[in-house]
Amino acid sequence: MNHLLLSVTNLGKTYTTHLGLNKVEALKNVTFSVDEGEYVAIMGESGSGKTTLLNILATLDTPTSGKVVLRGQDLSDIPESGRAAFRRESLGFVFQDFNLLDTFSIRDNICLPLVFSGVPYREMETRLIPLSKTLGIDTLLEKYPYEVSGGQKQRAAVARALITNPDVILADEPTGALDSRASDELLGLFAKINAGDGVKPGQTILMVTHSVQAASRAGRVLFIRDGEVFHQLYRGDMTDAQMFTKISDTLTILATGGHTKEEV
Amino acid sequence: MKFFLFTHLAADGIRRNGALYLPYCLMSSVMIMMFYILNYLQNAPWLDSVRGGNTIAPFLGFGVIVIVIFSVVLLFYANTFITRRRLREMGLYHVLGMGKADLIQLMLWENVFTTVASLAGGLLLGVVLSKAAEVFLQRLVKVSFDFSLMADHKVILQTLLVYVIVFIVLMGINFIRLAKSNPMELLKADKTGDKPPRGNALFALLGILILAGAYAIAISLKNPVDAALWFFVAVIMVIIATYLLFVSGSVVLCRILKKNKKYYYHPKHFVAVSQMVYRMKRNGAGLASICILATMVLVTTASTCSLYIGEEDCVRVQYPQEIKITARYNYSDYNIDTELLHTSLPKVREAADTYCPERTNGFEQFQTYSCITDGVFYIDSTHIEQAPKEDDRYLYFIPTETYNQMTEENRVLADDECMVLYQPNTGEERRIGTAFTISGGKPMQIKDTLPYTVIDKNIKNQYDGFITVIMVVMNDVMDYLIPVYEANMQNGDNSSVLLYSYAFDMEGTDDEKLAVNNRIAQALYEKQEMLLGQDTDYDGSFYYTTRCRAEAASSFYTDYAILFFLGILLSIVFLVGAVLIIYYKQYSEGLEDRARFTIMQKVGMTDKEIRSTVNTQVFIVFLSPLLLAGVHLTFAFPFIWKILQVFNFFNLPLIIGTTVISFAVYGVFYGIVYNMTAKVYYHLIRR
Repeated sequence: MNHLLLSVTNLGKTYTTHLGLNKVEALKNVTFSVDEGEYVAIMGESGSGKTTLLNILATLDTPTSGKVVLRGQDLSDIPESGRAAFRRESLGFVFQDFNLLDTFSIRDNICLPLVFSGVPYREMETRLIPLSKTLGIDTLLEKYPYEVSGGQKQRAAVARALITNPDVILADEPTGALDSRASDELLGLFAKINAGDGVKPGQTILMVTHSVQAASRAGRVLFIRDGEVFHQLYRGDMTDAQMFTKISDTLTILATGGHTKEEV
Repeated sequence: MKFFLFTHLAADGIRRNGALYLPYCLMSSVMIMMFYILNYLQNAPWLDSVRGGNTIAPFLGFGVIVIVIFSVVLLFYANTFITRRRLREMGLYHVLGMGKADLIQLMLWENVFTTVASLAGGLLLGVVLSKAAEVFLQRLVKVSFDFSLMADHKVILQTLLVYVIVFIVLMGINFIRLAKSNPMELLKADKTGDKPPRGNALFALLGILILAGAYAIAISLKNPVDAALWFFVAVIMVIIATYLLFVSGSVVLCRILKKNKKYYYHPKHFVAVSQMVYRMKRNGAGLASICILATMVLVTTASTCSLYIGEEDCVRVQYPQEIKITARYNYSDYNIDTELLHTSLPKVREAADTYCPERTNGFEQFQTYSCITDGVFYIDSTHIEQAPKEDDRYLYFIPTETYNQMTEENRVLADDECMVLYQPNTGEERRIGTAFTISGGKPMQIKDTLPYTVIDKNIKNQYDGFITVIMVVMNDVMDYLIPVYEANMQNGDNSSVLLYSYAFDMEGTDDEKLAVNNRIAQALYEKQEMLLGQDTDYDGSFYYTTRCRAEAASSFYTDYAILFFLGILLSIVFLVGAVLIIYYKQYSEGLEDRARFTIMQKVGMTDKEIRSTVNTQVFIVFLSPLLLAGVHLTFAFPFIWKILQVFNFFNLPLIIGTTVISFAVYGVFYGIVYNMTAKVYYHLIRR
């Protein structure tokens, strides 16, 4: 089952100020790969380059060096005009602040990417109904974002990300705006969709997070510091609690500036 | 110390919110400028020396009232718009530790600055442009007077007084708003979601019904003078309906579209429809205002422009000949014997013979008021009062000689024969029979019955009105009529009317025509004194008047020129209002939509799709007020046409032309403004 889904090779991104006087290296040399069905968390402090990495993966930004290949497709080969369609069809996004449109009902928010892809309404319905049941928001479809709780909003956002059957879900601090109970629920949901239901294979998830709690549920954790992959942690047979401790330890080392070799 | 802090903060706030304040100050400057210009012209000394100049001041006075009312409404709208946004920033200051009293002081300074800027800008523009306006007005009126390049300080004071009061009232409203507001809530106000507007289906339906009713009234009105009140009712109904349709109707329409899943869940319609619901709720009133302002501008420019251009036609209709002398006999108040008719009537032609021997197109006519009962005409008040109003007739007698001259025919009638000219489309020809009979006169055989348009294509316009006109052509009208009046007097009823007029054309300059007119008037006035002699009872029951086209033309010209002038000025004012509303609409929408479009871009909407969605919305929002204004105009047109006919304007192609051109020019101008404000919108959503 270990098919290679995503490979990131020697990725670098340098920002130049308007006058070209100052250069900031957001990403130096990032290399990693993700297999199909994996659940990977990316951790790092503010300014470590996490968001830049995610934006490049999302084709919202372009790298200055290196390349990203998703299912054999080099992202830099996708023309500007095809990027939105690529985002819509191959990627699913979950954001910290949900990014639901307040002028749409929950149903319309979830269907948004399908509408842009020109999917007929009947097909939308057949995808929406089981998905909304899985996510426990089937009773909220006619409500508007301002009428539902943060956790429910984030589940709607997850539904929006999943409805296109994307290759990978990119989640940017998905628990950042949720209370602990809603966070737990959401992480449980991620675990569930990652595990698959026996019929469909598990959903690949790439999650950027600050939260040790969130990262401890992932199958693998990548630590980024100063624009480089600093360390990797595989779950192996560890429980969530063991994983939590391991991540905390690694973060402490990271914060104190130590050097760690990759653990296998 | 604190004083400088507040003035500094206020100035800084205005600078940062230049996108809000600059249009506000510009708009109020234009209003103040217009107020100054109209007041200035109203007091211009040269007006008194213009022929017909005495009508200018009241017209301008009317314009001043319109501008004051309109500018107050518009300033109130703009002020509300700005304050709502400024209060958010004030909320931040409040959180940072400023008390309400401090905030009021801050707002005071902001208001003082904008007021001073508006007044200074408005007065400066007013003083400079009042001269240009003066030259323009003189050109329109076709006069040329020297004028000083001085500002009128009285008018400046007057302008200051009016607008300082307006601004103080607005400031007071702002203070109340600030005092009532909870700044903490305002800080968060941006974030909370909004209920999707449901739109009131009842209101939408009501809007359609009221609009249909108003249109039905507007096109069914027959007599413009009597129906002026009804037209006013229709105008009010149209205004109400426009607001209902834009505010509720549009939302209901969007909801109906949303229910149609196939339509709604389509890439082209999805975002546009769902956002339009919110957009219409917020800006429906603004769009309705734009629509009404557009209609007002179009009606004003088209009609005043037509009147001005078609002025000569109007004069010609009212004054078919250069000079018209009238002898008027009103028997109701003054017991006069028919001797006077014998002596006074011929004096008219004698005067014309004496003072204008080389005249052409002599047109002689006797006019009286009558009623027709069982085929017989009566001119006495007893019969007229008893007869139903639809039986009343204007009765004109025209000598055969005049008829032949007008028609260039050569009809010969026997002394007991006549021809009847009837008003077309009244069915009158069927009521008359074979002989013309008037109470007290001998019956005349009718030799021919013709529509009265045979004597002049345009004549129908002159007589078309409420009361049906009948013209009788016979050889010697005076010989025929004097016994009729004698018979009436013997019956003890002496309330009849007789109007004798003799009109003719002459060659020469306007001044020469005026000189002839004055000489005739003078001579006849002396005759009148002589004829009435020592009769102290005289109260105007018999008198001569003269009218000269050249004299009327210049006063017509003045009237129509001033209407045109006022039409242009008010159109500018209404346009400025519409521009401001469009601008603020785009501004607020740009701010609101920014976050939405960012999200859509993230979840996979292409730049092209975003642009096409934006364009669809912008286009609908742009076009809808203009289209509805066009429909309003179309339905108002028949009535405007009738009103213009009252002004003796009968040039249908001209009014259609000016209307279409006004619409096109307005559309282009509106398009340019919209394009410019759309840039503001794009800039905001892309930031």
